[in-house]
Amino acid sequence: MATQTAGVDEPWYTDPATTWVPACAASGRPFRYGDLFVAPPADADGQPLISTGKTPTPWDAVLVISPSCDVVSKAGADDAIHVTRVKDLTTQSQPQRAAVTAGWKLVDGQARVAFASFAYLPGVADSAAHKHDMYADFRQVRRVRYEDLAAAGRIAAMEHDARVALIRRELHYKYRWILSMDDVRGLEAARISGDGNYLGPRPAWAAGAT
Amino acid sequence: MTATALARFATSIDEVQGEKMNKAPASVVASAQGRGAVEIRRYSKTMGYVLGSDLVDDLVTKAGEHDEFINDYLACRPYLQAAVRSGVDPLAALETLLVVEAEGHLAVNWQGLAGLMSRTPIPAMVGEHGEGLGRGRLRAEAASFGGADDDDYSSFED
Repeated sequence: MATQTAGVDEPWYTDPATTWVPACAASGRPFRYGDLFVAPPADADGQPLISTGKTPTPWDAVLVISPSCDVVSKAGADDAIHVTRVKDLTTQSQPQRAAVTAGWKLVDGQARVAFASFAYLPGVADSAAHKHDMYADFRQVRRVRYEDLAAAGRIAAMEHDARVALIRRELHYKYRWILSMDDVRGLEAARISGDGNYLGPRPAWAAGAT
Repeated sequence: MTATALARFATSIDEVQGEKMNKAPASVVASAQGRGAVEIRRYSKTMGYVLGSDLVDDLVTKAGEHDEFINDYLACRPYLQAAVRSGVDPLAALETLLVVEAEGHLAVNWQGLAGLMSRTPIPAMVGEHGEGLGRGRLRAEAASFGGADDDDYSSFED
């Protein structure tokens, strides 16, 4: 049942310092929803991943938005994985950059969701090429072959709590719902706890299957 | 933030407003009162001010100053004030937001802003275009479904 707001909403994102799994620990993490990859040259239909602006340029990076199950355990080389384009946030104007970073902005003293189609992604400390702030553009989604994605290479694996925040943000993009972080985390916890084949370290809030 | 950095911050504001804060702090406070200013105090001493948007806009206009730091700071300031009003210590908020770069120049720490925002409640939001938002509750029921979906999708023909 829908409930009325209590007057405040939760932050959109988790601490940027804990968004990405440190490189030294990433090898133990299978590919999942929210992981950041170098953009492969073309999608599953052979169409190049190139921007359509005045100066066409290859996509720089992509974020996996296929369900983790489809990426972790079922993907074959030719299976298509849904990815969304990731762009450099530092090239935007200061007000836009601030609004994307927060996920909201003030308009006439009222807090509004800012750029609902985008999700803020902090820079990856361990990546020389992606230390800068970025954002995922949910409007630019393509299907890429699993093998091409893996070959392009993962830049960073997303931490579990950041993934919860990303799911919440994507739910808002798709349906304009505001769910609490606890609700989304609870659903993830139930899903993961019930998955006897879960690979990699579980989140602290999702006990193993019994 | 170091005392030097804080002094630099205050100086930046001084440059914008065209007068030395240490000569007329009372007038700054008086001008800022009711306009969103947040005074930063340490050990009962006024260290600086986070100024309200209209006041800063006035000051920027008067001074004709549009350097990169000021523009960055102006973009971040509403969020800084939201953090302060939600209970974050003003000095700690500034320390998070601002960094000292080479030659003592002050710059906005954008990841610091992100960190600050991750701890700051948002005043009740409306949608991107001002529309009301559906807020719901979805509660998970613990259930074991015996592992991940292992259906053979490859057996389906296009």
